Amino acid sequence: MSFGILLLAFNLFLATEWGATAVSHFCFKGSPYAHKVRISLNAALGDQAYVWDECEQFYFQATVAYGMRKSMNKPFNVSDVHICAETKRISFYFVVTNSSDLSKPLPKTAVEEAIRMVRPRFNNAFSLDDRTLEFLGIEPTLAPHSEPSVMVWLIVFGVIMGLIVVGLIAITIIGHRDKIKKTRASKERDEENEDKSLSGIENGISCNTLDGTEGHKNEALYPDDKLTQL
Amino acid sequence: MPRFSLPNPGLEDRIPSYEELEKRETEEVDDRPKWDNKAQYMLTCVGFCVGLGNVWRFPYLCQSHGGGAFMIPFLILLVFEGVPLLHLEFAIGQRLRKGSVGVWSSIHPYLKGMGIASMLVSFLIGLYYNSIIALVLWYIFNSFQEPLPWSKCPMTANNTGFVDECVRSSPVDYYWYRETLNISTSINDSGTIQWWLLLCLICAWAVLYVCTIRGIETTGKAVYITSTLPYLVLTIFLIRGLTLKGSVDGIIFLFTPKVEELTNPTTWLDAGAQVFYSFSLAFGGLISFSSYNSVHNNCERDAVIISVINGFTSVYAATVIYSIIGFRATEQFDACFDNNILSLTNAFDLAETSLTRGNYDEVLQYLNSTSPDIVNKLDLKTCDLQNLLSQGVEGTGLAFIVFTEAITKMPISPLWSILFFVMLFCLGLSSMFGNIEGVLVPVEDLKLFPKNWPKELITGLICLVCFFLAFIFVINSGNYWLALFDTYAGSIPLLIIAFCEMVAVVYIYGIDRFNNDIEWMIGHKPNIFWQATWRVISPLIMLVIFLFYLVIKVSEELTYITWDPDYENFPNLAEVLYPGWVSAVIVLLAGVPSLAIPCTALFLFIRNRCRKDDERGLVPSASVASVNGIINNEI
Repeated sequence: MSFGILLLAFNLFLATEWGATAVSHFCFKGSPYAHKVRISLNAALGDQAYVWDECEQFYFQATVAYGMRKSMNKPFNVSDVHICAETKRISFYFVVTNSSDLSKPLPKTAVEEAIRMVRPRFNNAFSLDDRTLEFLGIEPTLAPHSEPSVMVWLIVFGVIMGLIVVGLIAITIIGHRDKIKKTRASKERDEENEDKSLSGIENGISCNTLDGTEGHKNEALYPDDKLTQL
Repeated sequence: MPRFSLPNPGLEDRIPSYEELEKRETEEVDDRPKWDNKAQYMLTCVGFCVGLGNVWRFPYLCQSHGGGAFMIPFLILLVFEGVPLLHLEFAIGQRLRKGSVGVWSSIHPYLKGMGIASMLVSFLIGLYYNSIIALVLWYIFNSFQEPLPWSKCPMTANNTGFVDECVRSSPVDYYWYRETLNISTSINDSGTIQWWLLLCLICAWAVLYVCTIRGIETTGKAVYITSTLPYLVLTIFLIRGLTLKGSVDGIIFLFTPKVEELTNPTTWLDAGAQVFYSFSLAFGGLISFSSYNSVHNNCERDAVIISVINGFTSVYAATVIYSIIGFRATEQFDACFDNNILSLTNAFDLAETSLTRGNYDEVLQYLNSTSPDIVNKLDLKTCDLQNLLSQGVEGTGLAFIVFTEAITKMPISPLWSILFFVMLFCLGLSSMFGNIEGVLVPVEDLKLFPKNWPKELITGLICLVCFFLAFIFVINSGNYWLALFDTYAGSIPLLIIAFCEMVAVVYIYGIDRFNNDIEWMIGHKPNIFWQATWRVISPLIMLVIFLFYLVIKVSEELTYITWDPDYENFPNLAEVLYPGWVSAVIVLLAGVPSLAIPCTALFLFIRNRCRKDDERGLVPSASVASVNGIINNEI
């Protein structure tokens, strides 16, 4: 019996050893199953950047497992996510294996789908964004641009054209009014002048002279003798 | 100094005498429009002189021709070319109390062509200038949103990525060339009218019509805003600019003198041309404006004041522009450097903070020596602040590409964008007032319309005609036409007209008579400086500039720059030869106004000759005074 236990233990030992070496078969730089992750803590958080240690790495594995669970509806565990080739940059490769079979890594497409599905939650978990938490090969979906811009400039244009039309009408009305005032003023002035010049003059003879009771000598009938003396 | 003047019989009959002018002045019999006050006149002239060129041509010239050293030729030519010509136009307008056609016809009937040439040049330049104002309006309308539409590239139809043309160039370039102009790849490719630009064009001509509807009555009120607002905005931008990082580098770069540029003749040529065009001389507008003054107004002082203001504005605007350009260049430099650092950090998986600007050079050297192939693959760009600062841009490129990019990097960008483009709008509009004046008054003098038509109708018709002709600037190739007009419609004819103006006043009107006129108007004779410049120095400078210009323009290849996404060096602009028919257009643009002067003279001469031949049959007789048909000495 003890031999059996020994054999079992040996088998288990061999299995984990074999599992570990098996993982290192497919988790390396350039592996067809591995995704590269790059994290820029300083760019995102500056002074408030936390240190990337084992706990953060565990958190990362857990979040990937969460994503896989959500996407494939299968019970993935933290131990199914394998991380390798870590650098000081904070970049590493990770592979996801099937929980039942350690030797079978999941294809890249399945992992991509899962990551895409939970990307916003992923970013929030680490207080990062699409730019600072990069999954090389998985492009972030771009937020669609809102397009009300056509309306804004037309509104401003409409307002300004309205002001111009109002201004035009105002100037025309004011000008018309001024012209009427001017013609009326000049007509009055003309009438005044007319009255002044024409009142009391008939046939070139001022009425005053005709009103007078004293007689006027008509010079033409009585040429002054003084002048025609020989 | 030559004191001869050409024989000019009948001059006395054509010009109003001093007594007549005094009578008109005191009795206010004249129905000619008048300025409400001196401030209106000064603001209108300043507005006409200070235009878009002060903002986007002078800073470029200053920076590319030796910075602070450029001030020397600029100031020298301002004093010897700008001020005398300005004084001449003011004085002759104030004395003869007519617009450009009237003034030159009064001096000698054969010189009517000069007025016609001024009118044609004002017309052509007004056409394309207002189209630029329409583009400024487009940017104003689009500045009322956050984020500004030229800050990000638009997405493709299915939201998978950004538009390729935008990614390859830049958001501001894309917005200007594609979303605003929708430019074609060559001037041959006319395309269709861009409806959004058409709306802006309607707005631009409508605003101009409202402001000029009753001549200086309405423009005199409008200039209180359009001439003063630019200075306010420039000051705001200066204060804002100085608080931005890198602005002082820009200003220092602008004014650092490179004295060896003074030996380059192009520097002097460009300075002379800039002074000349900046003063809006030979357009006829200044003569008109001056003719509405009281006859004893001190035009000499006005000329000096306006010249000083114009020069000061150029320098001030250059400072502001280059503070913002310095900021933009520093931003680009920082971005370039950071990009390089990021590329290296990512490629070699170094710790994030290990590579900084300080140790960049040595680390790069080390990496280059250990793994040069990886480094080469990275395509690192050399980041040079001086190089970025010296990428001088002028014209529409400065305002609509460089400056808008700088604005997107400032906080509260919509506010700065609105301020900047409203300033450009005011600068352009106040210059347009002068252009329209230079077109309207000759049209009235030439009696092209019946006399009983109200002024509002004539102004409206002119604006309408110009609006329809300006359709050529809102088609796909419109910007190429704009550049064509900009280069050829204004340059040569204006130089010719200005030279003829000086010759006409000094030698045909007579410098002695002119001196007496000025003495009568302002109280003292013009001193030796004016005499020397009017008679010899200024005409000589004009002649030299004209000849140089002619030689350069005629000998250079007719090329233009196009926006071509298929060009191998895209986003750089491709330099392409003009097609053959454009030469005909250039000849028309530059030739017709220039030839108007000799052709009109010839036409009038021939007409006079024919008339003299007809009149030979009449017998000259003296008329006798009679009352009621009875001649007095019969009684």
